Amino acid sequence: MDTNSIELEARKDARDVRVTGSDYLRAILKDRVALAASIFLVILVVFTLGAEFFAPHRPMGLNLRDGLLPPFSSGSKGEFYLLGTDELGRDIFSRLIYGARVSVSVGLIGAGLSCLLGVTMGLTAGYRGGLYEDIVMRLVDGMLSLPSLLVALFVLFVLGGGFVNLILVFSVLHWMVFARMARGLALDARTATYVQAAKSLGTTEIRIVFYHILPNVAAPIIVLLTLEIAILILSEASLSFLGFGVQPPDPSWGLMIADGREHIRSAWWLVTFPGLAIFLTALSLNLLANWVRAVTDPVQRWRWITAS
Amino acid sequence: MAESVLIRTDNLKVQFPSKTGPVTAVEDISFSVRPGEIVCIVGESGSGKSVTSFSLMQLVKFNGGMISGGAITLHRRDGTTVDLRNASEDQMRGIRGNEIGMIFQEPMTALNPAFTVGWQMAEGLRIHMGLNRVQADRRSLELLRMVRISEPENRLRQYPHELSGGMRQRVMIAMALACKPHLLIADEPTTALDVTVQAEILGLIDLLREETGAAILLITHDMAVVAQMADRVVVMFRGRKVEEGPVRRILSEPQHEYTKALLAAVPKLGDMSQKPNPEPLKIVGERYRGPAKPLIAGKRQLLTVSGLVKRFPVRGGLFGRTTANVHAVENVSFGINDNETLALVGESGSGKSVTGRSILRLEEPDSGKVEFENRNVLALDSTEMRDLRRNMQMVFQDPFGSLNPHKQLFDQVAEPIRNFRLDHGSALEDRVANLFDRVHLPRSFLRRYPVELSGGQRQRVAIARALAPNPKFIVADEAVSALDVSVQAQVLNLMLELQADLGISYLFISHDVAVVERVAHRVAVMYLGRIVEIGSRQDVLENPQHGYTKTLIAAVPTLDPDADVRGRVKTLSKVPSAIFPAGYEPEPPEYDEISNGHYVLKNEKQ
Repeated sequence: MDTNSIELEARKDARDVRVTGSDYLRAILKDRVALAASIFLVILVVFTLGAEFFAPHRPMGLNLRDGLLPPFSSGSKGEFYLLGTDELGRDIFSRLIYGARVSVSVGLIGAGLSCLLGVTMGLTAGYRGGLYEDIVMRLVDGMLSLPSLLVALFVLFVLGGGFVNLILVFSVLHWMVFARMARGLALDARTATYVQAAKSLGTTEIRIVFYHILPNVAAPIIVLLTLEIAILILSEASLSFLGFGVQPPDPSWGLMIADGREHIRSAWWLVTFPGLAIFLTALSLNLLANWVRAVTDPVQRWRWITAS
Repeated sequence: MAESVLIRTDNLKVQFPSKTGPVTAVEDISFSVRPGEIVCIVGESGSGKSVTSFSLMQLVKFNGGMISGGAITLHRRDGTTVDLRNASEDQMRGIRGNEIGMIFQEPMTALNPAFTVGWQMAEGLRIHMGLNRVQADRRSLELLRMVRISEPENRLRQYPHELSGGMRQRVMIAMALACKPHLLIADEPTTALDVTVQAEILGLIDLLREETGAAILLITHDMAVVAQMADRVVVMFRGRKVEEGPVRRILSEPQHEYTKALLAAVPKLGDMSQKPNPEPLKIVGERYRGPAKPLIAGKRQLLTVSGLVKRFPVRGGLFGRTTANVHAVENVSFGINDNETLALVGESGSGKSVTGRSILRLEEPDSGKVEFENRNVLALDSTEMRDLRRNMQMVFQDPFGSLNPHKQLFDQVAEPIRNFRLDHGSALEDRVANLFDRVHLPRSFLRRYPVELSGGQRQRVAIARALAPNPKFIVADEAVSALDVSVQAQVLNLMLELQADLGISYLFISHDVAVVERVAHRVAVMYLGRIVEIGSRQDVLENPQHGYTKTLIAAVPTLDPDADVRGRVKTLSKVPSAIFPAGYEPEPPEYDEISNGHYVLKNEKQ
């Protein structure tokens, strides 16, 4: 008898409980890590949506006399700068709040689209096999061997920069990792008994792939998605730095890091706070995704959601 | 008195921590093993028998458990006694392997695939016995001879994957015996093996007991193994010992209700000798429904399989060319009538599962013909095939794998109904609920997930799902072999009940001859991809003609403690295989008709 079956025995009594919204609430209140992550993300979303309300200063307000002030300092007119100012005297904290709009949405939408595209291609390729799989996977190999930054520069040069084009370019250049992973997972799942069973029950291929296989392979894909969001926030930074992404003086986290690099020796706060923002966002997304995966997985969730 | 006991547990209690507090796995377990004795701990899954045996070696810690009560007294070789519950990890290292050897259930995973057998054996000998390389090699060879492996010199140089399951288990036994332990713990040592191999391994263990004088603690779920091997028996149920005694008394006069039920649930070969039709098993403690009506096979032929061939290529060389073929199914032909059960019996690798899967085209056969209600199944396109699946369903062996872990049971059973658009809305809900009633599952299970069910309950769900589109024919691929015997009996009875009520035909694929005798109208014996004998159940099982059928039947374990186990120990030689060079075409099989409908394969040489 393995430990699993013992645990199975243990919760037989707690079995008949329907999981409700308040169970999830209770579960997240118990899990401090997931709680902290979701609090951070809620704050981030609230600040992003209500940037006009929460930002103490105008994000593009020049004030050359108060350039490069360290955190917690007061400006020449007595204004308070929580996280300091940049070389043009713009408030870092306000720019972080406004910058979140661009960074977070580029990350979320870009990663989301590439995930959608990659997972669709990868799952179907892995399940179907044959010529279709060969074509998709060679396409993946080919695109992975392109220097993506260069391609992105070229495409944005032709199409012009800006928010929408940036997202489109990211989706087209980042779906391959998802496709590779999804294909591997589908290859595994294809031989699983439950897939064979579904086939013998007359289930159509498309339903087998998206209704039966997808929920079973979602966990690693979600983890990859959270990582990819962080990567895209950083890619946005590179492109904006090179002048092909968000156009200054509009703030974005990546642009702030790029601008701050010149002053990294003298004014550490210019790169530190946007860097920290990217790091915390990625980490929180990752931790929360992990928690969501655990509580929604019927195999695992009883560990987290126990009737009390 | 103390001298005559090798190891003794007193009121052993093992607990596993969990989020909701400690869970007691076993409680109040007391038993003892005397030198040279075979004690069997028997019980079903969840009874705590493995936890008990792991506790003796303190291995339960590695599974997250803790011994929270009682004592385990071991009389060591040097005459001292030690309480294993409090022994230090250093002490345990000296005891594990040295004084207590252990054999695990899974010979596939217990050996490291990256090293040769000789290297793995020598490593243990060098560490435990302080032998040098040459001595260790010599001792390994000796040990392999002891477990009667053919060509032991060659085996030492081979990797685990080159050996068959039976050979691997022999290597494991040899390794366990390396340091001449005086207690050998064998945890389900034959469960993963074929019956003929199981018989050999059990015989070998018995022989080794005599040769080495080691006592053996055998953990098993199989009453037949108990009957053959045990001097004394400890019966466990839900973490407690319910009965203990000499094997003969346990078998002939079981005291506890559970022991009685366990014995009654074992199908015994020969029980059905005068009965032409299948009959349900009697289950103790359950109202005996009796055969509602005799299960008489129909006259109309439903399914015809002729000349079915399926080969799997073995690729090799630089360009991955096919160098050889595994002839998994070689020219197999049979028919099944309506309301009839044909059993396909054979050991692993005989091609019985591939045959079943080929009929349903879950595997595409290479050639041959499958006709279902006069439609050529193999010629159908994918849409027509999908439609045909309404009438041809399958129940898989592994109830843990065949249900999608992320879907509620309602959706799983509703799946075929939705696929074929048979019902929707409240009619669908009623239909699924009725199917749950049909397989005796409570309706409260509808919204549960598979992980919340036991193996037997899951197999019921799988059966309900197969029944959902009202099929005429079900392939049951080892449908009961992963289940505990008491659960197995219930599921078998359910299948028979469904046949009586709904007139379903089964292709019942199984390795277990005793189970087959219960359920089949006709039996086909498969060996290396061919049917070697086919006929009515009574003809094939009571008057076997082919040599392989006779071997298979002789290897079926019985509940008779006087049966001769040693006679079955043979030196294991090269395993026959169904791998042939590419391009090889075997001659079509010819059969002798012994009596009406009883055919035996003639051309032996392949």
